[in-house]
Amino acid sequence: MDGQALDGAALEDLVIRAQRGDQAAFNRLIADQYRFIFRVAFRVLGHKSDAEDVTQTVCMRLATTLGSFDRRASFTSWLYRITINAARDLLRAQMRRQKLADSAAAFVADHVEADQEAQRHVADIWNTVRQLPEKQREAVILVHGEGLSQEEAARIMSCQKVTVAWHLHNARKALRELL
Amino acid sequence: MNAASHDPLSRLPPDHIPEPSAARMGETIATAQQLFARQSMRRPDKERKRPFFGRTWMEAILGAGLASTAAALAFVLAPALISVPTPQSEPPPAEPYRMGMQPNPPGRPLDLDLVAPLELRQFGEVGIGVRNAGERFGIYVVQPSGVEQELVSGPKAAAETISVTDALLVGAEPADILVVRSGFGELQRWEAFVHDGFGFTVSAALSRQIWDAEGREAVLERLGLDPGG
Repeated sequence: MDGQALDGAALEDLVIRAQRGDQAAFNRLIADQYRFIFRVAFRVLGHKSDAEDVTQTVCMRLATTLGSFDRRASFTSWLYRITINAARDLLRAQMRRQKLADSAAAFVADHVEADQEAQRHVADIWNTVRQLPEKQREAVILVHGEGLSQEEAARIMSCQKVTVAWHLHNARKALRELL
Repeated sequence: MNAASHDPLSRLPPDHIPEPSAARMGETIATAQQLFARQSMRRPDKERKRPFFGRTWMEAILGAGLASTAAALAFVLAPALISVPTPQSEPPPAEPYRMGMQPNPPGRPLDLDLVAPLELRQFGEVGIGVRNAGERFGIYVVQPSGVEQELVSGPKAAAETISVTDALLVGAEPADILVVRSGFGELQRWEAFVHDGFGFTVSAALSRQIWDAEGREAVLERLGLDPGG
């Protein structure tokens, strides 16, 4: 919980130990990754409480399904994927509950907290990004929000690099209209 | 077209990520750690099975095919080695077993009360027992007559021993509430069980309120009950 991120090798070592049932390793892993999960969830959702709900879901999933991580991808890529999937599930559930036509306008008004007023412009831009179609949104968040390469984003999104580039291209076109 | 100057993605400012709630973070992390402790022994079981079945369906199918071929060759080439089958009408050789005892289904472990002694602790009028058996544990409320009711059970790490460190029965409306603090090492948490007329059932909502309370007084306070009463 100290916010000091582990480097890649130390993180993978911690994961292996946790997969073998090492409680101390899991304790460190979950405390270390909480903020990462929250950050990614917030980028997708744009709302603190929703991001915390998703973070909780992902943490419980880690506790129960860490053994299913087969290490074919890096742990970070795997965690990106399950966090984005969990956030996507929450968004879909929310979309089912409210009319899609109203959601875009309500999203900005309802979800920007008071302490974000000074950064309203930034929030508006990112909230516009969050209104993009699902794949475009995820490509922009991973490449331009998280600073990943298109190859890394492609691995997380389970698609080709060229597909990520295509989603980014379409996102650019859409944002030119919206911003 | 000058793409760079018109590319909205190149002009995206850093997103403002708020600080997560410390209380929510602490609760989520502690809950995940406890859940991992109770789940952890399921994973090595899966990993132990994996080399036998192979990593992919194709490997499994190929493995099964090779085994079948070997069995068929053995049958054809060495008939003398195959023993005459026992007629179906004859019962298989009996093994000693107790009357009324059902054979344990494959993969299903014996009930905890058959394999682990009850360690009983008394907290005032409340008797709480715990059983630790290798990779499993169970916690029970024990009546003065000795009758046990299971409160919670689940998997744990073999090296860990679950203990009960405090318990309290609270008369409340509409039903009595039993609060129990259990765990291992420093990982202790309170759980609440509500009496439903037949026995105690875990209450997720109340447990969420009290899980990290310092002691009995804090538990009662969080439940809106009078610590003095």
